[in-house]
Amino acid sequence: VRGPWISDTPWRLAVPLTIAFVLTAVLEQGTVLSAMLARPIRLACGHAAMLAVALSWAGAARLAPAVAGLAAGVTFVASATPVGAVLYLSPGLVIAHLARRGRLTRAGLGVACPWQAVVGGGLIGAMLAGHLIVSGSLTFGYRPAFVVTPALLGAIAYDIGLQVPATELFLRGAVFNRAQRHASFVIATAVTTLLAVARYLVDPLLPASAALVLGMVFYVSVLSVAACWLFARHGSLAPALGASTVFFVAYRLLGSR
Amino acid sequence: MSTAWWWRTGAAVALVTVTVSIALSGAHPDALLRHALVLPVVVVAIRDGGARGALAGLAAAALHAPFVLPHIEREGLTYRAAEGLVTLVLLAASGVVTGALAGAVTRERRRYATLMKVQRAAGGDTGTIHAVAARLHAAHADAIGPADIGLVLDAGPERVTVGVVPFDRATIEAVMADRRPRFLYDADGGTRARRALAVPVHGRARVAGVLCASRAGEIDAGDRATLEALGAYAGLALENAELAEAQRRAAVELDARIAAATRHLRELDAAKSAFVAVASHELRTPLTALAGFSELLSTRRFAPEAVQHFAGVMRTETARLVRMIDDLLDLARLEQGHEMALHRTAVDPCTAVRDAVAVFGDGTTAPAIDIDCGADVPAVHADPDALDRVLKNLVSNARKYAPGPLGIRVRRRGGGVEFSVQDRGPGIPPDALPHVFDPYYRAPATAGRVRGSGLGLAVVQALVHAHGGTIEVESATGAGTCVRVTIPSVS
Repeated sequence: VRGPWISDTPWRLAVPLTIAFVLTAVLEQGTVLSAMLARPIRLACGHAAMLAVALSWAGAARLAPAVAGLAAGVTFVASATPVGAVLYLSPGLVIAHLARRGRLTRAGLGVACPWQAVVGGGLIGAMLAGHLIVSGSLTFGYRPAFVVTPALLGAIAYDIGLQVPATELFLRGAVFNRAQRHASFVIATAVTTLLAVARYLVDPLLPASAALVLGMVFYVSVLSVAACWLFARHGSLAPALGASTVFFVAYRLLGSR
Repeated sequence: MSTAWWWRTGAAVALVTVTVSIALSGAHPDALLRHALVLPVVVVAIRDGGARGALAGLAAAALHAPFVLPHIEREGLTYRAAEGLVTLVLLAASGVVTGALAGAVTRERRRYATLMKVQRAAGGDTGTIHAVAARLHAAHADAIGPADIGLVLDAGPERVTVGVVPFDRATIEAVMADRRPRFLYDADGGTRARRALAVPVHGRARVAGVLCASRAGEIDAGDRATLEALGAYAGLALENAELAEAQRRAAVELDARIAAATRHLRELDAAKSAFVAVASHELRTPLTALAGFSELLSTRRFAPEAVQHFAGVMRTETARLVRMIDDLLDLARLEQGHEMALHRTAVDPCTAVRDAVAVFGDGTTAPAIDIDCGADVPAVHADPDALDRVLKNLVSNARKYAPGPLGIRVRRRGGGVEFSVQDRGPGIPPDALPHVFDPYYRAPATAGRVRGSGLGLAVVQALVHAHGGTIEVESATGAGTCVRVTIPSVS
């Protein structure tokens, strides 16, 4: 049961979104577009493209344009106003609804999974985040900031509602899931981890510092390997979602130097 | 909670405790306590193998890194920092290397345990193919750890399947045809990819079947190599078991043959002993008659009629003596593997029959012999003397065992002429019938009652076969006996 690597890919949706993403990045680099305008466009295009591919590969191709459109829309609205950040939760809720209705089982959502596995995933994310906080504060002087601000809440909403679900659905539910049916676990994990690193390297929110980029590569790689292992071990995306969610929420607690 | 869980939890607690201790004792990158991090890593690696050992090593390195990296950030790459960096590398490497070694040891242990089970399963009393398949399947249950094992064995036109076989018939046949394993990254399309491997079970001569393993999760290169080796071993073990079974059967068969041959030789020996006794008596009787009458004729005077009578008796006894000695000589020649020397010519069968029965009287002193000679009976291609001996032996036998009337029929049959001698005697017992042509054999029921050497029918059979003819006996107790001899005709 293998099937072609890239069957069911929504080219008509993914290709324009990817072109828009790249074009925006180029225009931003050339200072034709301001960062204020370019970043929401890149975020919207990136997440929409990932969700479109993930949903289509999961057999929900008819829903892909709507969910991708919703993700892009809320990204624009949420970028415009701090209060609008709560809208980031809506794609996550839609995905949860689809999972409950059994539309995303081929992506590992809505399938039976023991709660211990989800807790285990959360623990892995917490350990990695704890390490990040300790080493970040000791090495780079980033101190954890436990002050709840609208920006922090908005960032957490972005992670919980859009960034983590879209990324996990794409990387684990789609890419790794398909790769492991064509190649060994090591190769599938390597491919997925390379894509994960690439995905966060092009993230417009990543600070432009070599040390931080190296740290990102390390933590994203470890998180990706752990998430792939959890997915392969349990056949469910829930533990990987737990690990990523806990890790990124904890990451948001890192304040400035 | 399982024992493994407690070990892993204990190792995690130990790692955290050592890390906290290092932190409390100054958080130096080269703290002496850092060496204690190796212990839980090695314990996890030995117990759980490569993957978890590597994870434990990475976890230990990650826990120690916050003591090393900030030091480098603050003071550069000092001697202490270098020691810390070496520790990080060693912690990660110790987990990977120890885990890999432990994994290899576990794999080898499983392989040897499975080999022993396969040896036991294939050996001994092999039983039916289904029983062998069930035993081999059970022997492979723990070949690569938790996995579904399936076995397909070649049983001629059909395939005997035991356990889980996630491959279709065509794939199984392909594995058997080219002796190459097949691997599926995903056998059933479930949410967890299910790996499946099919390896040939092949010996030196043939492919005996296919061994399959499948599980949700990885079947790595080491496990695949293990299964391939086990498939080859199972094939050899099956082949050896089949050879041993064939050898055992051959030995049993040989024993039976030797026993039968020994029994036959003993019977033959007993028969020869009996023959010697009988022959001595049979030879002595005519000799006694000849000696007595010749002495009478040489010492006394008799009337011409009496002399003629004595001469007749002496002639009859001499003929009997000659016949017996001829039989003995023929039989001796046959037993030594010599063919009978025949001087074949065209012989009229009816004339041969009439000449042969003439010596048995004309019916006034003995029961009449009814000769029924067909009209279109052709001449036979036979040695006249040999044919005469055959016929006289048959008639003589019938006379000895069946004193009543006798019938001889001569008919054309196929490409030859059939002579059937039918008596109305008591018949031959069924258990004696298969042995009537054995040399020296005499039916126990008549051995003490009727004179004879047990050579007559053996010699007859040899003579008939020398002519290219056939002989058969038909008899029923109380209904007489019929001996049919067929001799090829001249045409």
